[in-house]
This record gives sequence, structure tokens and C-alpha cells, in this order.
Amino acid sequence: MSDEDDRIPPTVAEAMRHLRPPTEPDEQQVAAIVGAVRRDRRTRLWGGVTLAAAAALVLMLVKPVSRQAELPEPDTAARSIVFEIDAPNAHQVALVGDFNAWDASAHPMTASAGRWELSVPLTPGRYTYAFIVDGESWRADPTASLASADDFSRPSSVVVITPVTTPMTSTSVRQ
Amino acid sequence: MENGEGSALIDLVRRARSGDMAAFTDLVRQHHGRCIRYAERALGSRADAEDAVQRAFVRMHRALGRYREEERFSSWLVAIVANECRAMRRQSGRRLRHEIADDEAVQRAVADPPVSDETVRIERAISRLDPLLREAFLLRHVEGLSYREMERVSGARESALKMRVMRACEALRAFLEER
Repeated sequence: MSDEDDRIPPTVAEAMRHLRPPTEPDEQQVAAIVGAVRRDRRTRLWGGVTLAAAAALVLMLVKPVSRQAELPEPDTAARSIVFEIDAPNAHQVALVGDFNAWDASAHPMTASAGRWELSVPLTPGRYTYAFIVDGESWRADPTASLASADDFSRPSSVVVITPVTTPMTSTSVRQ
Repeated sequence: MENGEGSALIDLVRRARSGDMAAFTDLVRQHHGRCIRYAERALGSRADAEDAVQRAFVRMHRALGRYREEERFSSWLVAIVANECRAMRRQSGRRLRHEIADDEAVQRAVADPPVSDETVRIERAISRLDPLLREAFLLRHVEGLSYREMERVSGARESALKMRVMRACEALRAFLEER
């Protein structure tokens, strides 16, 4: 299809000059949006704290206890990353990427009202990923940047996880 | 700024991404009107548009870490809004009507504030489009997304999207030429 097929017919182009412009900001709605974002942040923060606490507990149980507790390496701390996509007619959706060797069986997603979601702990770095719908249809993440054609032959997305910089305190533990 | 948007905007995005809620609030103010207008046309209801746009901004905030500065922020945001509109249509089980008998968005356009007959005609013509054609037309010729950016919304290939846009234009011309 040529670029000419992308032109707007003159009748339509003329009519489009009369389209309503964007509305003025509604401060009530802006405040409602910011409030919703703050609540969402709190929910995710507590989820992250729970994940960190669980990880710390596992660490304490599997590692030998020493007099001087080791400080975690903030640069390698994994963060819980939420992946989601709308696929209301799908029977199964898998998350694939270079963090699971593009294995469609590694990260099956769960659905709620047509939206598929999964949280995955990822250490800092750059990841390419995609969703496989019903075992055959590859889809990129609508909210993420598309991977370049050089990165992968199928539609895929890129996410960059930055290192956590929050300082942590150490305590000595009796052996 | 290589993506054509101003450095002030990208500075706001960076600050919002680092957790600055004042910067995020400014981003909302700057883009809310455009998002509402798109969602209103896509859904045919101002109330639904407000819900969809609120959800889109929450989703955008979650996804700020994935935004890459070489992309146009406004297009990236509109793509998220378009996805929320699609999700809302599915969740409500509602099929957007081709007829305009009770098209709330158009009636509102006429009443508050009063607009010209030409505005009513074009807004009404857009509301009569099939939902997929309407989405393609709005994203391409009103919001100015590239076909590559549009692929992210629909999952359809560029050739299919171009066909939808062309059919939308043909349908709009026919509507506008009706007496």
C-alpha cells in the first residue's frame, strides 16, 4: 500500500478542521488521578516489602549466621516487575524473554477479566521480552518500548531495570 | 530532543519516573485534555472516558520505567489510553453503536459549550464508524501516531492498519457527503 493511500480525502480533511480541541485540564479529575496513582504506589510498595521480607527470611534460613551480618548488594537486588497484557479471548498467555531463555513454559500468566498479569523478580539490566498468546501469536507489550528489528525477528519489547539505591542498615547476629 | 518533543517535557518525565509526584501531576495536567478527547470519541461516553483515562494514567505511572526517551511520550501515552478504551469496551460487554440515536458525546458537544454545525457533523461522522476503523482513524489522523506505534495498540500488522485507516476515510467521506 502506497503513501497515497494514507492521504485523507479533501472532504474529510476540511471537516477535521472543525474537530473539537482537547479539553482544558479539569483539576478535580487531575486530583482524582493523582490520588489513584498514590494508592497504587502504596499497594505496590507493600507488595515489594512483603517480597523483600520473604527473601530476607529465606536468606537467613539457608545461609550460615555470622557475627557480622553481610550487607546486601543493592546493585544486584531483584525487583518485582509486573507484566500485563489484554487478551480477553486467549486461553493461555506465556511471558517469554531473555530472562527465561524464551521458554514458553517458564512463566505462564494468570487472567482476570481478560487482562493477563504476572510478577517476575528481575535483577538490574536490560531485558527483551514478549507475550505468546495461545501458543502461537507473539505480541509486544503495549506499555513498553518496542525492541528494534535487529533485536528480534518477532514483535517484542524492552524493559530496563535500574539498580536499587536505597541504603540498608546492618546488624550483628549471634551465631 | 531527538523524538521532536521539548526538553521541558522529557525533564518532567524523568522527574516523574524518579518518584516526583509534582512532576507527575504536571504531566497529567498537560496531557489530560487530549486523552479525554480521544477516549470520549473512542467510547462515546464522557463518564466512561474519564474512567478509562484515570486507569490509563495509573498504568502509565507503573510503566514509566519502560518508557524510552527516543520515543514520543505523547504517542506512548495515547497508546496506553487506547488500550484502556479497548479493555473498557470488552469489560462492559458493550458494542459501540453505529447509530447515533443517543450518542452522549455528540449531544454534549452540541450543548456545552455550543459548537458549530461543522463540528457536530464531523464528530457525529466519527462516532458512526465501526470501532476498529474509528480507533485506527483517530490514532493515525487525529493523534498522529505512526503505524509502528499503532501496532502496539492493536497487535495488527501495518498493512491491516493502513487498510482500516483507508476504509475509515472512505466511510467518513460518505457520511459527510450525505444530505
